[in-house]
Amino acid sequence: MKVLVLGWEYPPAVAGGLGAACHGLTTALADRGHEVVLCTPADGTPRHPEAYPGIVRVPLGSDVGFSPFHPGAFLDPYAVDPTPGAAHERAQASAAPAAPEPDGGPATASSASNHARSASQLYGADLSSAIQRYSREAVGALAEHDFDVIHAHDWMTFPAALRLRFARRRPVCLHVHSTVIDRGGRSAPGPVGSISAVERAGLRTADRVCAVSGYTRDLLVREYRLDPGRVSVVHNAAPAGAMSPVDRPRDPAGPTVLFVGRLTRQKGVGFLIRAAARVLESCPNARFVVMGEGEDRTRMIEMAAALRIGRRVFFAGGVSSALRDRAYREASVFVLSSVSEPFGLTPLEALRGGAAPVLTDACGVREVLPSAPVSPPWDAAGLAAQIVALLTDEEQRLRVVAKCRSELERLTWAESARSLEAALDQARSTSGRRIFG
Amino acid sequence: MTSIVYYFQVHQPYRVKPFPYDAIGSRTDYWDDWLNEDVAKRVAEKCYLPMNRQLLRAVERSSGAFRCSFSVSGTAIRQLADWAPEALESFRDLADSGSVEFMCETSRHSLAALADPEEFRAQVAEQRALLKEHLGVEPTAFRNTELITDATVARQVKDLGFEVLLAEGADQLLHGRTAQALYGMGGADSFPLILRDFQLSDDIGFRFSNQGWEGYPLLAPTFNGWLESLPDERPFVGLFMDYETFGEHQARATGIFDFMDTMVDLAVASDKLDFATPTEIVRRDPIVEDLDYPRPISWADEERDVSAWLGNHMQRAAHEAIYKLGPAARASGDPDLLSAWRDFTTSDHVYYMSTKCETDGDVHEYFSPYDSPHDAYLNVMNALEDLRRRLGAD
Repeated sequence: MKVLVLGWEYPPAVAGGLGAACHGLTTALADRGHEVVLCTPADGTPRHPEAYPGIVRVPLGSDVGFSPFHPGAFLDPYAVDPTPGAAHERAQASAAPAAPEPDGGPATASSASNHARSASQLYGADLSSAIQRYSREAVGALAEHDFDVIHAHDWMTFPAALRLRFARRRPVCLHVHSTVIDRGGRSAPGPVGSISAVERAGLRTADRVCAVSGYTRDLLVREYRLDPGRVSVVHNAAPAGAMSPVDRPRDPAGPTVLFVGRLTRQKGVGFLIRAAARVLESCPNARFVVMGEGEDRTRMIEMAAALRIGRRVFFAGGVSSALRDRAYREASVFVLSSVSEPFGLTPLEALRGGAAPVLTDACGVREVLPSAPVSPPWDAAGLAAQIVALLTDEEQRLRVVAKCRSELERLTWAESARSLEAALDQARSTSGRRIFG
Repeated sequence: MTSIVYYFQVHQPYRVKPFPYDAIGSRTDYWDDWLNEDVAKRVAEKCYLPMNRQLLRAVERSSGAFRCSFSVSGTAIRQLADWAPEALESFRDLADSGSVEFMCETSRHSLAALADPEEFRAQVAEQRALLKEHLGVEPTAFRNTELITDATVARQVKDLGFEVLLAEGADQLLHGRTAQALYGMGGADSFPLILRDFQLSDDIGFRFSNQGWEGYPLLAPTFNGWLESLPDERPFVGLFMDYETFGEHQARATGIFDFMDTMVDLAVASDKLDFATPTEIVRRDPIVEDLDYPRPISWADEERDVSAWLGNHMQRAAHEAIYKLGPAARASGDPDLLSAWRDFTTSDHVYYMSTKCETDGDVHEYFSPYDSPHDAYLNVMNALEDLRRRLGAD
């Protein structure tokens, strides 16, 4: 079939879920013989890799604008609050000498700062006007192109998808990689309402919805009242890369428990630190390494000091991808402590390095790693027990790594594209005529 | 007759180099020697050299009637020996003049008196050796780091054979009594205490160039007038301040050098004022009464307690982490590792981690080489973790 893909991000722009997923799914669709027209924001070369057979590129919207670099943004494509007001405040804060959030940017990592710059271009001060330009130009720019179905990634492209659906009478399949509810919770300050309104209206109008996980499907059903029968689950594939040997000599300085992600409420670092205090009671030589920046940084540092585990908890800040990969190889355990994670790519990356994952039950990735230990995020004792079990029994830890790795091997974009294909077929079967749902 | 007891504190820490997480285990240079050398040379040029010269001239001009006292931390002595030897030489000239007393403290300007009595004794011994070697003096008076004092500190100082301890004349201690008298330490056999008059000391050290202060501009005749109007029965007044006040905290352009020069001359000429050093006072004056210390009291911040160094969780965590390595460092048999550890005991490292706001926070920030207290904390904790591994400690 002919598929029109609307993406906001396409590698190698921003490390994280959205760009990688859009790239993986779109190339896999092309590999399976579908004709693909891919629309992404027009500016900047880094997001426009070389031509791929079967994919026609259509840039939409002029330059999406540039806003000051926001440290750590590269760890999460949604790190930059997509409202003009908030971005403006942040620009002022970083211009002032006494910015409350110290600029611990990844100065050593040029690739990381490229990512961060791209992130601020894509999700910077001009986001809402960039979305408007993208949506406005979509119908005209695509007049010459024919397609059977529209596949749109995340809320930034939903308005364009709905315009095209109306103008061209083609069915739409909206793909949800992350919702604003995951990122802020309903009580978060800021424009949750306006973004969630875009999400809700789009998802209820779409002919078909793809969710990145069963977890996200349940969230959409619960929060946006979608009919569960209209939502397909299309899991992400594993990130590319070779497996490191796991049977490595143990670090004499003690086993390492690793966290990688933005230090925000969504990522639940505080729960991990509370669990760390319990882990250290039974594994006093364990070390906890927290990689990433974010608005919770100072609070987390103070929490670790207050729990009297400051000597065992290290805050590495924003690091280069090389340093992060090394940390994956050196870590015994990787913890995803998120309170709401649509998918969660980092445990898969960590598995490649040889770290055993411990997940919370509020994440999508656990659906594809059923062998990984799981705990509710708020249950410090439960989380600690899972970590201790892996730290104190190396054979058990290696078994978990081996099982999870075999599960990870089954995660390919070709497999994901097969599920996506079914969802697109279902969208087509409605012929773009659905109204309520 | 009231004796003016000047005491100037000279101190420079070994500031820690940026030490990110991935440096742990792969780097052993903890100290930012470019920065430390720059600061030492700058302060020597702007403060130590010109002010030492001025004070030596005052001694000569007054035929020894002008007296003052110093404490120079061991870390400052080592830095000057390495990077500004002519400044160290000028301190030695002051010591040789016979009118300037050099007191003892901990060699690393540390909180060891509170945290680790064994380390305290070791650092006092080390400081005595440094003073003997570089300044040719054998101290009889003691001041603990940042004037942190309580009965425990006084007992340790007494046991080491000193005659007198300098302390802060804090309101919470005096409850309305004057600071201008010789007190004894309750619970430490009335060990003699010479207190700082924080009002008059801070007029010079803190407020001198503050244009919002009602006393601005402060001129020497005014200041000496305040001193002369003190009641006759007050034996002395303790004017204690950072030596870097002269030319560094208060720039030369504020007139601080001229103020001091004139102030000294007027006091020498006055029939109501003279100068004395702490040891002279304690050998001359009787103790009027004992003071009870409810808690350790220092000269820092509004609180005048130890909250400038141990006020928040990060500071206490770092303090604990530092002193936890003490036994391993002393047992290591490696003088370089031991000395590196000792330089971490310098109180400035935890001072930079203070999260206090407003006036006191500004003071902390003025001294700190870090962007934030949290950066200071992480940096020191990373470097300490590296040292811990090299020491093979728990």
